[in-house]
Amino acid sequence: MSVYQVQDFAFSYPFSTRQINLSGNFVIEAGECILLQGASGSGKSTLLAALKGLIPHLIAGDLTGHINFHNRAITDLNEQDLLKIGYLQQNPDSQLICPDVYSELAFGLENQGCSAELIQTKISLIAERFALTQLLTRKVSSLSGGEKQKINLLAILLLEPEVLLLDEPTAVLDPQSARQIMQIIGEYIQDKTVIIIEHNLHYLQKLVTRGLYIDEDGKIIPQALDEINWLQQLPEQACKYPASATQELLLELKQLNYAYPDKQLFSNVNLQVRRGEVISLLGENGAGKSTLLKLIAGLIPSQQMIYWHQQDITTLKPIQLWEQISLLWQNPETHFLFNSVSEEVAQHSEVLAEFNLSHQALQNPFTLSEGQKRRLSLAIALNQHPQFILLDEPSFGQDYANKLRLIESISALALTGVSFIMVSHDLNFVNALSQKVYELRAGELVSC
Amino acid sequence: MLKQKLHPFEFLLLPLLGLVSIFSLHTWQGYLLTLILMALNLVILNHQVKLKKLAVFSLILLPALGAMFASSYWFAPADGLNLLSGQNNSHQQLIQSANLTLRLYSLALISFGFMLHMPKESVLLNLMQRKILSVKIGFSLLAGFNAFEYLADEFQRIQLAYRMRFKKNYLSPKILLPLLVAAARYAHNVSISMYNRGLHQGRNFQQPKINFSRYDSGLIILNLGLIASLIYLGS
Repeated sequence: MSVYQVQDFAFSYPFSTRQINLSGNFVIEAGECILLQGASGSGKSTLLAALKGLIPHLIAGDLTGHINFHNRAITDLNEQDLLKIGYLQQNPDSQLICPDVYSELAFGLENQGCSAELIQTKISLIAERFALTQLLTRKVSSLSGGEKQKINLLAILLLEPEVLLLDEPTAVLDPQSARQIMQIIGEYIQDKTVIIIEHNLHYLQKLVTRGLYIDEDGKIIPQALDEINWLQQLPEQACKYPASATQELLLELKQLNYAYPDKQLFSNVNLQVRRGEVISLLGENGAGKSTLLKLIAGLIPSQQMIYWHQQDITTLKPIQLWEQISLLWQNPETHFLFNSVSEEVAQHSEVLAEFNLSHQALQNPFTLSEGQKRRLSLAIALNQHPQFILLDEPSFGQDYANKLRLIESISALALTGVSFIMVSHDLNFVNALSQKVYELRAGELVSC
Repeated sequence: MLKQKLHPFEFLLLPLLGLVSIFSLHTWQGYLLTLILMALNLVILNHQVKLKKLAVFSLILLPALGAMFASSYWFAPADGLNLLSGQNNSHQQLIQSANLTLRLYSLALISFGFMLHMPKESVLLNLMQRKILSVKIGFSLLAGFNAFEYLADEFQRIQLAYRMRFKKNYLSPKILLPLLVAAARYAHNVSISMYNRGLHQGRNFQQPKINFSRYDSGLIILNLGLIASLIYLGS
């Protein structure tokens, strides 16, 4: 029995020149688990939104082509019909509506008119099944990213949708949380239809029954399981430590301690970074990785524990330090302040050429694809000619091809003598780039 | 004990009575007594009053209050009777300015004090449950409360990125652009989440409806009586 029939889907976003044109037909049968792949900006998320009926019911625009759900055009379905299709987004924070976990889980059931008793029974059952009972009384603001995403997923599963659409559900999660999310999905999808967009394919190998790939021309191509690059191995040690490096010591952490008023975050952290080195930092969410980056960048005061060129950074003015150290946040958009890509790099076209962004020079930075945004944020940092770059989750939201490009860019910069400390959950990416890998574990920096 | 028995709507009704009292009275003594009454109400509703935040708010208000006092003292028209009788009206103007300033301060402090201590989620849910507030607006406000922390973090990162990039300690209005984009994306995702879970006006609420107890009615009647007496005595 076919659940979806799709034929030549095209959509133009309102107030934008962006158009998605996908050619080709495909049918999705009941019980299938489909992996939807394609380059960044190819239209995967737009297609998923259309399969949910968000396009055109919630997002207006010019829609052409046909999407049928159980042989009815998706445009003809009402809100009640569309509840048969569950849809989970990427960002765990921005899907939460209610103040506490119990209300969040009850929200959809209340909309369906369930009684308070039935709601309580359903929530208790699902919370016990996935060992989340202890979370029910918590405020949503007190949850970790992984816990938030689990609650978002369970809130959808409680509505017992026939189809589950997942748009990069593990993108911002640490490996442990990502595995837990995938375990819940794995248990749930026994007899359901699932369509999933995901860059971390190794989680999915046992679940997926078939693939669909959107190529650069927007053509939808079916993929057999053996055609999918499950492990997505990145070239190990792609970044060669420059032989000509002078072993010049740029940064040294000596017995670094940091504590919140109520908690010791880490203590006795020792680290040396030499010119041209790429060092990676692993650790669970909340281990203190981002705090360590802020301390090194002089954004949080420290006391005689961090040395830049063997000089205590407390003796340097922040402005002096920032001429040599740059910090790039996980979300590249945080760094965009101007209306065009060329303005972001102060009209230095050679920097844009170096990062393969010349064709986008006049484009608004916020409209770039994820890969282009990340490259632009690196270009912005490089425009300041730093000796040292701190990277917070650089591979976040990047597909395989973009990760390869990013590895290429960082390797090239390291060869010119720029050093990096990189915080990441992506072990393949870390292995591809780093000369040294450390983990912040239980408040200590451990070499891996 | 009493705190749990009182209805969250008390946080809306009592300050409203306080504001009516301030608008109806014309002397600093009346304003002061209303302020004391409202402070007592706040203590009854919420045993742990956030005095520090109220003090900070009062400090922030100081320049505005000072400006109000100065402008009314120097520029407000003098009392008509005093002008006709030819008396020196500077003392009258001083009292009038102090009255106006205290009136403004009382209005601001009552509104802010109750808003600060209000159990916002509970008030919104009760308003929606009684169909006084549309669920679309109510749940959007609830989602907005969740967004504060996320957007505050994002804003801090944007500020730090700006300072590091331009080596400046002061900030430009340009930093509002990425914040605006982050807020718009958040709002878009939340609206999808609500749609995705079938939000509609005729929904149920799993929380039992809280009714007004005799304590609630008693507190309202007591306040009404006291405020009516104040207005009567003031007139």
